Amino acid sequence: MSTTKPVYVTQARGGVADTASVTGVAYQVRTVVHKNNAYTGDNQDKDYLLNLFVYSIVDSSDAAQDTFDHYATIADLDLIPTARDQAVTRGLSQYRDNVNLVKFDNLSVATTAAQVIRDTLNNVVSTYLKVKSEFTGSSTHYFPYNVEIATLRTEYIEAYTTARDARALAEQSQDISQNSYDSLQKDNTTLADSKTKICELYEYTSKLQTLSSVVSSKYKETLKGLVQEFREDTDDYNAAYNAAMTALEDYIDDSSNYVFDSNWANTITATNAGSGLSLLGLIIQTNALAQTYCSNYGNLVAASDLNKSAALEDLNEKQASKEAAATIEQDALATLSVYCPNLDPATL
Amino acid sequence: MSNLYNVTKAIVFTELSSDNFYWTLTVTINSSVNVSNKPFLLESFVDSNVDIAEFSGEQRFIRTLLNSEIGKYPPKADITTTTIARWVTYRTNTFTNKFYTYKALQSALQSIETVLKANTGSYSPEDIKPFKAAIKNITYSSLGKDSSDRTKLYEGDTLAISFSGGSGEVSITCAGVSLINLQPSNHLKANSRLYRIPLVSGATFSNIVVTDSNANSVVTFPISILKPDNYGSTTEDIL
Repeated sequence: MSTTKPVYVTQARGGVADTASVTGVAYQVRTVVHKNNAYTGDNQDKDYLLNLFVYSIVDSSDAAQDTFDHYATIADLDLIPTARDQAVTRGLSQYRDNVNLVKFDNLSVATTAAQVIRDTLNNVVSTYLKVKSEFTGSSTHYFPYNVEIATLRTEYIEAYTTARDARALAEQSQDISQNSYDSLQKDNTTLADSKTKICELYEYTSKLQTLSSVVSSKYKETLKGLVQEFREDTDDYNAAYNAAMTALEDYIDDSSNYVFDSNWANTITATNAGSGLSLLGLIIQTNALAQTYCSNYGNLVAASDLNKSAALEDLNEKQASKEAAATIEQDALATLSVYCPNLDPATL
Repeated sequence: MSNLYNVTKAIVFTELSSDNFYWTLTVTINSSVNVSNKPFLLESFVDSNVDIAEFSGEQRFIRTLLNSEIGKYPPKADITTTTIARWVTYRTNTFTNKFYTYKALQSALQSIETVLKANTGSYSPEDIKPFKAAIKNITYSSLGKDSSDRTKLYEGDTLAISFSGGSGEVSITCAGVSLINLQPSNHLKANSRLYRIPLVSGATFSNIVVTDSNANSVVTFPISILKPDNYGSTTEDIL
């Protein structure tokens, strides 16, 4: 048995049949506080700390109706009597006892509650002994204090230094966001510039493409016109020759006979086309490429714009956080300087 | 003469309507002795290619800087245009801030006075540190000094100039030599500056002068800038 602890508890935990419970079973925790006879401290502590459960009196004539209300506080130890009849006589509605019985519907809650009961009692007892120990004795005080109250001083210093450190962290956080935003802005500027230039190139090649189509159809029309004119000027030729001319015109009209495909998408090589057609084909292919790049860069710029907006939003949030942290730091320093007017914040 | 600030505080209550009112606090440091007269940290969001000197947008008061922090932030006049939009932080001698409760204004004022008092060394005069500066050639540190006790450097070398104590209000000059600042002026990070020695036409003598304008302290570093004479290509036999 410990000689330094005035009381101890015994706790009985188990399941019991209970008709009031949905499952027919309840989990019961019965806690009893006992005096520790081996305690060598102030003998009165054992009696003072024995009754730690506060009960409410529902009907003064029927103790069976009493209900558990709460665990005793330090103040309750002085204010609430330990005998029920004494409480009734004094017109009080509460008294303290050393036995406590509580029931729960499920095991999980009961298990936690058993621990909570022990911890709560431990807290009351240890707090009481500490308060009593600090209170007992005598001292002399001169006013005003020549130094700040130690506990308040520590509290306000901690409040200030914590706020200052939080602000410093917020500054770092803003720096990181600013760097990220800087980088995205540079990317965005480069992409937007590239997009403008490639799309400008696309606009120019589009105009070239229009001209290319005109030129190619002109080639065909010119060639066909020459054939037709030649036929009109040569009526003396025979039917076979006319048929040949008609076949030639049909051949010219049939686009499948051209060395380039109708979309101008395939490469024109020197073996199947002249340099004129190759030039037209290359212009049209350049236009198609420029269109693709312009579109791609449009998408890249749109994505970059979104990223940039998100980064700016994040940066502004971080800046606002820093400002809020600086305000909290300011308030903490103001409080500190009121209660500790001789303390240099630069030394903290 | 002991350290001091001469400060003007102005508090104005504005009531736009019965449910819309605020207090405005304006604090201006008119002059100071041995301490920086620009300890107020402000921040503004400045668009790209806008000169901060001509910036007329919102200036947000952040806090009052302790002496030890002054060197980390540039004064407004030292900030140049940036090509990208960003939050720019700078020091000034005056600010105006609005408060929606008088208590908040009172707290702000109290904390400002506390920091200014700390900066003047009123709390603990023994904590006031004298102004000191040091120079380090971080590119080439083995040249040492010449017979006139001048620190020898090559053109193109990089120098770190660090300082401590004093008011933190520091300027660095080098007569006849335009030192190349390697740090963005709007984003200083410590009580130090990084410079590169520019190309010189020939061997040059000069002095790097680090001045704490508020503490009237000057630290001078005589330097001798060497120009190598073996630029270009040569072909030779190694025996």
